[in-house]
Amino acid sequence: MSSDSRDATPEQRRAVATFLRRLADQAERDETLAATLHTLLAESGLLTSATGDGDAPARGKGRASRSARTATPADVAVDPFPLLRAGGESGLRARLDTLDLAALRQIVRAHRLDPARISARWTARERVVTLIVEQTRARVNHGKAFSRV
Amino acid sequence: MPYVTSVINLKGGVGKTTITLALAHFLALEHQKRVLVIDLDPQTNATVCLISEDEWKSRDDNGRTLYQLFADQVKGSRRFDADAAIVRDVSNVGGGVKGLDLLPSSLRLIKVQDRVTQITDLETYERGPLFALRDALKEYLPYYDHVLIDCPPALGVVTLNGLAISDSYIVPVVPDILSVLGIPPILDRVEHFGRCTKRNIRALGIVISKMRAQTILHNEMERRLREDFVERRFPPVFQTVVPESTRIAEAANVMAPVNTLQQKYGNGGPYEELSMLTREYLTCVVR
Repeated sequence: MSSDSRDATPEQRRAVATFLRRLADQAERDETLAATLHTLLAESGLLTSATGDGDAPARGKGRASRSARTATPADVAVDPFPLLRAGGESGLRARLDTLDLAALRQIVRAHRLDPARISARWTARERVVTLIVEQTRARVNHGKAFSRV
Repeated sequence: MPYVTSVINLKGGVGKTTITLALAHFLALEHQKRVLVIDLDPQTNATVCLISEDEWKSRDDNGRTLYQLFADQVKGSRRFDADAAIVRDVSNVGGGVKGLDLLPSSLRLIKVQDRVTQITDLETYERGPLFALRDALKEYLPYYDHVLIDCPPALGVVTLNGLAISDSYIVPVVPDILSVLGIPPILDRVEHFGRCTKRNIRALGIVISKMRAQTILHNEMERRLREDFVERRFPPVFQTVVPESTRIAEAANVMAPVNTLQQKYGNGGPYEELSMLTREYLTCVVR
C-alpha cells in the first residue's frame, strides 16, 4: 500500500469483508461464477494453476502450460470434430490411436466430453479413445433426428 | 393412485424441464419411487434428455409418442397404445434407472395442437379432447407413485390434458421481471379449469430456478416472491433455490456417461440443491 493511502474505516472494512464472504459463498454454489473467477485470477497471475495431475504450478509458462483441467479446445493439438466429419469414425480413431493417454485425456477435458469425469480413472487408452469417438459422434449428430420430422 | 404434478409456466426457458427431470431422477433413485414423466411439450426436450434422439425418432415414426394420442382425437382414429408408448427404465444414469419411465412427446404435436384447440370449448370445457390423456392412461397410472408432467409454455388443450389428471402443479420461475409476470394468469386459469371440471388442483408452489445469487435483481425478485406469498397473492415459494449452473445444463446430455446422480449433477454443487428440492417436494405432496 502506498504511503499516502488512508486506512479504511471500520465500515469500509466490514463492507469489503461482507462482500468477499458473499462472493466466496456464491462461488461455492455457482460453478459458472467460480470458473469465471478462477480464469480471471489465473490470468491476473494472482492464482497459480495447479494441474489435474498434481504437477508444479504453471505460473509464467504461458498458454501452452495451461493445466489439463482448464484446457480449452484451442489448447489441444487434435480437434476430433473436423476429423470425424472428414474421415469418419475410422479416421478419427486412427488419429487418436497415435496419441498417448495424457493427450487423450486433454481432448476429453478441453471439449468436456465427460463432464462427470468418470473416465479420469480409466487406465486403458482404448476406453478413452472409444469415449471420444462416441461423444464426438453424438454431438455431431445432435438434432439430426429433429431435422427429419 | 400416484401423486400427479404438472410443471407449468407460460414463459419458456424458466427451468420446467430441468425441474421435472431432476425431481423424477431423485424420486426414483434416492427415494425408490416408481415415476412416470409425461412430456407434453412439443419441444420434446424432456424426452431427448431421457432417451436418445434415434430412439425417439423410431418411436415417433411408429405412433408411439403423444402425437398419436392427439392425432387420434383429430382424425377419429384409435391407434395410440399407452403400453407401447411408455418407455421403461429410461435415463443415462447407470444405463437406465429402474422405475423411471417416460411417455414421450413429439415435435409433430406442434402441428396437431392447433387443430385440437379448434375443436375444444376453452370457456366451458364441455367440448373437445380434454380428457384424452386421462382415458389413455387409466390402466397404467396406478402402477406409479409419482407422475410428473412437463407442460408446454401455454395453457391450451395439451396442457389442460395434463391438468385434468393432476393433483397439483408447480411453477418454476427465473427470479426476473418477465418470468414472474406469467404467474397470475396461470393461477387464474388453473383455478377456472379446476372449478369447471370439479377437480381440486393445488398450487404446490413456486420454484425459483436459474438463480444467480450474485445479482441484485435476482435477490430482490426472490424477496418479493416470498413477500407476495405472505400477502396471499401467490402460492408459497419453495425454500430450496435451484442455481444457474453449467452442470445442470450439461446434465441434459443423455449420451454422457454417468453412473450416479452426483456425477450427473455435480457433487457439492447443484446435486445438493436438487436433492433438497426433492425432499421438500415430498413433504408437500401429502394428500
